[in-house]
Amino acid sequence: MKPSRKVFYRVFGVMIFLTLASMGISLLNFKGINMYLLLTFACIQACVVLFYYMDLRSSSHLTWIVAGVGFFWLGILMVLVMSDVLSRNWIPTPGW
Amino acid sequence: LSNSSSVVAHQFDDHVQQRDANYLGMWIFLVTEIMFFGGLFAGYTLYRSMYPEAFAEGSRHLSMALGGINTALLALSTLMVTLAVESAREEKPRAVCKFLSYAMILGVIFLSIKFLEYYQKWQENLVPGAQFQYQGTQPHELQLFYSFYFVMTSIHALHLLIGIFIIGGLVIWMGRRPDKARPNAFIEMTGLYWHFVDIIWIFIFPLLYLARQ
Repeated sequence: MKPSRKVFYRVFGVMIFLTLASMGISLLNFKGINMYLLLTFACIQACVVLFYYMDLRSSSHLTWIVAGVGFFWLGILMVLVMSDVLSRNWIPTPGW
Repeated sequence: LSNSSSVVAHQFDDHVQQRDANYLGMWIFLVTEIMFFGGLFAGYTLYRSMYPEAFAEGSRHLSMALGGINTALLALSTLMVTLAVESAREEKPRAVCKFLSYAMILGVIFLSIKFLEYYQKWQENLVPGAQFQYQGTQPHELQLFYSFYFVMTSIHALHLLIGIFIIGGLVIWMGRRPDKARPNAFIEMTGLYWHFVDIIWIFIFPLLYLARQ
């Protein structure tokens, strides 16, 4: 079922609200979780755009798989990069 | 892509199959874009974890107000594109042209603000390279931050510029040939591209402008 225009306006409101909330978070110190909060809000905004504006909700299963694979590969890239960074100090190596 | 939603190309059984094929093809392209920007985001993540203080300092240099205004402009433009796509489905070509024109104007304002920011950084000698000057404690690491800032935002701006040209072409095409079949499939795919560019900015904004702690 296609969302109505009212839904699109609400989505825009959510986008603006989350942007303002993110700006508010950046001015406060949440003891190390600022980045996680910012990325959580960004992910919510991205999901809202994907599902409502980009019509992923009513797309075919094959489109879902293709879109999901893109984000899954991105996840693999991030996990492998961070696993390298976080494990560098496990074995002390001169020059690092 | 077919030139009109009212015409089913001979290789498809019906409109639904044609629409699904259009979406699938566009999404395959967008996945390559995800991987392209993913490399940049991975590089940013790596260096931010190595130099968190310098990157936070870099974020504090950037104007949160200008970044926030640009985020709102893109959110509004992506709403306009959505309304244009809806109008195309309802066979309202005038409304399509109107909403696409609004989106294009908002995109141009976004780019103008972006270039204003670039100009400010140029004036402050914060563009990476031989002219880079910073009196703080970590000038090299800050230069790295600005390298990511300029590369990520300029590639995003290039994508937006391409979107503006595509939308501009669509508006001109529809304005000159109002009696011809509307390129609804092309409008929908342009909409997907524009929304994707917005999603990229949704992540660039917090990572570069808001990660100040």
